[in-house]
Amino acid sequence: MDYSVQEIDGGIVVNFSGRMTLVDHDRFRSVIDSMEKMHGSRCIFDLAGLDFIDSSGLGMFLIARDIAMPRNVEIELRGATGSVRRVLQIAKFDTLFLVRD
Amino acid sequence: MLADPATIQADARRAPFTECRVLVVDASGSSRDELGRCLARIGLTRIDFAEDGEAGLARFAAAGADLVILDVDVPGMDGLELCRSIRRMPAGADLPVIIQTSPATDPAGVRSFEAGASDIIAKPINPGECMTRVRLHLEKQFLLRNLTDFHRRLEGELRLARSMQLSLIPDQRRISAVAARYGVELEGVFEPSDELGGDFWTLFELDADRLGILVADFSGHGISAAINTFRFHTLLERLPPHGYEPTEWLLMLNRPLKDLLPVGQFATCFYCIVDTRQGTLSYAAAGAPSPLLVGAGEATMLDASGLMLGITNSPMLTSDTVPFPPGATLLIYSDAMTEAVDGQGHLIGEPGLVRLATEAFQGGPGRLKRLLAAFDKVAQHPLADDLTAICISRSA
Repeated sequence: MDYSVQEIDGGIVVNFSGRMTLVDHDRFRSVIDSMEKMHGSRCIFDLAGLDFIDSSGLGMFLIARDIAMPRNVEIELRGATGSVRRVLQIAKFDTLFLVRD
Repeated sequence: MLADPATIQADARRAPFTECRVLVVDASGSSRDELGRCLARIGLTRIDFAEDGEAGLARFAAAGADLVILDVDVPGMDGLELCRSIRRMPAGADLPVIIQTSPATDPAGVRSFEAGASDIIAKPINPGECMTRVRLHLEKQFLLRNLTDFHRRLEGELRLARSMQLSLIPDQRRISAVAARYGVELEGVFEPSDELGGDFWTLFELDADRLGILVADFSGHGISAAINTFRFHTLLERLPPHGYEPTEWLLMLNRPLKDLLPVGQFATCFYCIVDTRQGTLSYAAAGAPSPLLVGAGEATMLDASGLMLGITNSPMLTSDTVPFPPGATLLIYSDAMTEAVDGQGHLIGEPGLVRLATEAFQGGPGRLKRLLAAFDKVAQHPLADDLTAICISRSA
């Protein structure tokens, strides 16, 4: 997995690409760091470049949610396609996150 | 003055090699004395000497050694040949062998290294260099042996843990007994991708007509996921499904899992009750891969979406009751099947699985076996995740 963080008005956008699996746990830690330092209440995870996500990847989103909630930050999962989109649907992640096309 | 703790620690780490045995093969008495003094100064006391190649080899074959220092110019079998002979012996394959070379006959030690030397020291011997190199190789050898021992022990423990995990799931005898009791055809496979995995499945004989099947997949794989399957198994003993509707029961399991699992860990779950008298299949699901229902030549993917167990206090689950008449087949599987890739690197996905299954399910019992054989031909191995698949059919 690769990612880049971009500051926007009122929050941040994190662009993910590649495959998000168990081996990305350490790297995801720095996404969490960015969330802890961010200003505003919007945190957009742009998943358009993500090709694949497994259960560990979904677990990382849940960890991010745990960090975001007490800060009144809402996480938006945006632009997922293909198998990533299907996995989010199966997991009913729209009950936990703002999921947008 | 007190010794620097760092030094003490370093010495403690180095101590084990003083027990090491060193074999010195050198024709010159003064050289042997010099090498003996070097070795003694770094604390080595178990030193063997030989004066020629044949004697050196015989000594090594008889008593072994933890390190060999040999001179390239010894009478009879020369140092290079001796080195090759030692390397051919099982005890000598990974042994540190240091060859004393003469820069005039073997510049840069190329011939020595080709003969299998671990290292070279140039003649005449520089005591400081000699001591450093011997110490370095013995330390390396010691760490390597520790690592190998650790690895071997871990392998043994993982093998044991794997057999413990296998004992949690129904074995062939139980599967056959249950199949006979309910008049169904039943097959199950369970293959962790590593020694241990996060998949789990089991059967519940609810009453004379109703059979419960539970499949769960804990996030991640390996040891932590496997530990969660053991916790889950204990939980099932405490909260059996008898008398509950599928959704009701999964919600009951969710509560303790939510407390048990740290943030980021969860379990996908599919639980169904096959009612052979009513001819129905009632299920509840929490983010599981869509089970495949095949009947009357038609394949349907059941909706098994839902929030996984262990995340929130009241997860949104999916439930349904569908006909399961004689002749129908249900395939429940872990995502390893749909997340596998084919020879061209394409995800097999749900459409790929439907294609494989509809073909494999034709022709009576042995459906899962045929499906897995077809899957193995298409999917790239090793699989990245644990593979579990259960196939239940009602005889037509």
